[in-house]
Amino acid sequence: MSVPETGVAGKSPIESDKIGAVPFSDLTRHDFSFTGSAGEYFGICIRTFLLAVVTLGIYDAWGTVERRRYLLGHTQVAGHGFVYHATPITILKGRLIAVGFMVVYNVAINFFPLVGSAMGLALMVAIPWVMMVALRFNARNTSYRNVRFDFTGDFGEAVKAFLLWPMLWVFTLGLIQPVIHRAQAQFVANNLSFGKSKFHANFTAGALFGPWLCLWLFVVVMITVVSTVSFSFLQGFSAGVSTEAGENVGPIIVVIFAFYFAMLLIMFSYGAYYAAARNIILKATTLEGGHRMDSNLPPFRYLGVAILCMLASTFSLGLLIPWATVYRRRYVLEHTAILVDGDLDDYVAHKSEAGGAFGTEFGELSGVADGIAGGMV
Amino acid sequence: MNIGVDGIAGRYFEAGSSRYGDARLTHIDGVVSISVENDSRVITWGASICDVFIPVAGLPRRVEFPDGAAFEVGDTPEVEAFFSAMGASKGPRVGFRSHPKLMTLIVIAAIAAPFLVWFGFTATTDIIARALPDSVAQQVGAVALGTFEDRLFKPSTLPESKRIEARAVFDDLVQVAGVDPNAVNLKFRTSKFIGPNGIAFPDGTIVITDALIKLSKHPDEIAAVLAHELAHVEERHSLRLLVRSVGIVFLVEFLLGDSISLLEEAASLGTGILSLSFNREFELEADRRAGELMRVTGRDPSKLIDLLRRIVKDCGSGCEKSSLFSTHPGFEDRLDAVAR
Repeated sequence: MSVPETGVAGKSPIESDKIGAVPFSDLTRHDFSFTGSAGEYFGICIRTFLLAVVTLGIYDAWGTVERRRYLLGHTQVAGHGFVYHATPITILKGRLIAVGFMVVYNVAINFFPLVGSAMGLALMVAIPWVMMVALRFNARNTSYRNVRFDFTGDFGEAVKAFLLWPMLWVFTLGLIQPVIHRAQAQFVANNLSFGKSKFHANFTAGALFGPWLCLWLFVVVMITVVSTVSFSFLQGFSAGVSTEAGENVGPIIVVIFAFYFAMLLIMFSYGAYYAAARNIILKATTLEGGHRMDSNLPPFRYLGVAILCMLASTFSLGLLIPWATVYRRRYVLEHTAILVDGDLDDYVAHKSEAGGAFGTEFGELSGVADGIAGGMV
Repeated sequence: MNIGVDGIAGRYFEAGSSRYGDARLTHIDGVVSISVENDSRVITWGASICDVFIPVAGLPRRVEFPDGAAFEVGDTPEVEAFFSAMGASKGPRVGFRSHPKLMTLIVIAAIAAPFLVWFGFTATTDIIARALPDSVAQQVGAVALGTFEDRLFKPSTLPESKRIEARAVFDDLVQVAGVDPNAVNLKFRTSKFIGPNGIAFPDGTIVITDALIKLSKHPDEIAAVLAHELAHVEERHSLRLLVRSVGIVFLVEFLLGDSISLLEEAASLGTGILSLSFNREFELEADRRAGELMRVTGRDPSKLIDLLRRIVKDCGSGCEKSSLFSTHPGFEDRLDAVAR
């Protein structure tokens, strides 16, 4: 089934659905839900954390599998949960290789700067590869109704989406972000399949431009205000105050904190864009067989949820991370749905090897996979 | 209920498709049979080749069969009994209620672990730093010195006599310390950036600035600084600091790998503070060794602090005490170290 390119920004889902091959009224809506509880997940996290501490981190591979099984298993739609299949040993192997690499890299960058820099460059080129294998590993190790997901994106596409397009970011002062975001979302969605049935996301970069421009203008205004205020603040201080070492540290710290605060606001505000973009992208995503995804995450309320989770996790010194994880996940899932044409009975499985966990674990270690980890259900 | 005969009722997911149906799983003498309802099929497998998933809170138990089919059943005590009779692993049901002694042990171990990790970390990094071949120290030292020479240092403008005087004191200290004279190399430089200062490089080069010598009012003050820097070289402090700083980043990454809050930011701030604490630890170690060398050569160890006080005379009480954010220990601690 194909969705015409017109069914994007500005149109309600019902309107755009009418254009598609299947009328909206024939589709059955199944909302996602999260059936787990923060208390239960807290118990799992505490137990696995303690065991990981006792075993110097080794047990965390088992803990990771249990936590992912819990989160995915309680992610339910149409009466079934998702199953995570990766084994702890695979995770552990991947993690050890990734940690080994980071050690070598850190040693090299300190003792042999030239070798270290070369490795750093290689690392940059490796990011698309890491994204690709991480997506593949996670997709192939996840199943729904005993049918595994699959991911077939290749390295060339990954390089385009995660290296070439992002290079233009600086030259366009970030205005190109919708194009980058589209390339990345389509790399993920158009290469993802459920069994042998493909997902497809059909939307234009223009659809993302509205929300992005709002965020962009907000950031520009924030930076202008903060730098103007701190500049005049510093000038006021340096005039007529002694230049003894230590005396001027106070205002500089204030300015640093102001910048830090502005950075936090900017970081948080990305959440609103994320929600708006997620709605656009998922609404444009179909699954072979006439089904389509839906998302109606309210951007500003989601922003509130994200800020609350971040603050709670931080000020509880991490104790509330399990609660925040469950709270945010439930909120996102409850605003996500799949519109099913008929039933989900006739999906045919497609068996592929998931490969090692190095990419995924490396991605987690160096933070590159963070961006998409939250984006997929 | 005889579960051996009746088995447990759940859902059977066929291999290779998303279809499923109600089914019953039984286990007799090492053979697992699945009878699918609305279907006359009975599928059998050897129990040992069935993969029974470890239980996860609130989720159905899952068994996967070699052909890719799966059986799921709600987790009840009966089901639990069925699977343990089958010999499947009970999974990580570790809790205070089920294993109070084991849990207490784990909590105690978890509290002790950070201290052990800390001890192990400092010991391991020091062993690594000391075991590094001399060529590494030479190379790192040459790179660092080169950078300083290019950007911060200018040739010394001290009168020849002052330099000869300081060098004689230095040679005396080197001999008393039992350091190989070829392993250390004293240089005089002037720098408007680092003021009155002494720096020990990993390759054994010790640089003393003109400003420091001009500021001193007693020969023992220069001797104290030289002894202090010599101790840095002797104890391989710069290499140890480097290895520890690298190690701490790796350790924190490993322990806090995938946390989702500002904790990681806090942790990176923490590693900075820890690196500073390593530095203060090494400074005190160098002070203690300097105090020793000063006493052996019949000099006054407290002269080091006299000079330090003069360098930062406008510092006030801030320099007397150590703080979390200072690179060097407070004078009170340093006086204590040299005098010991």
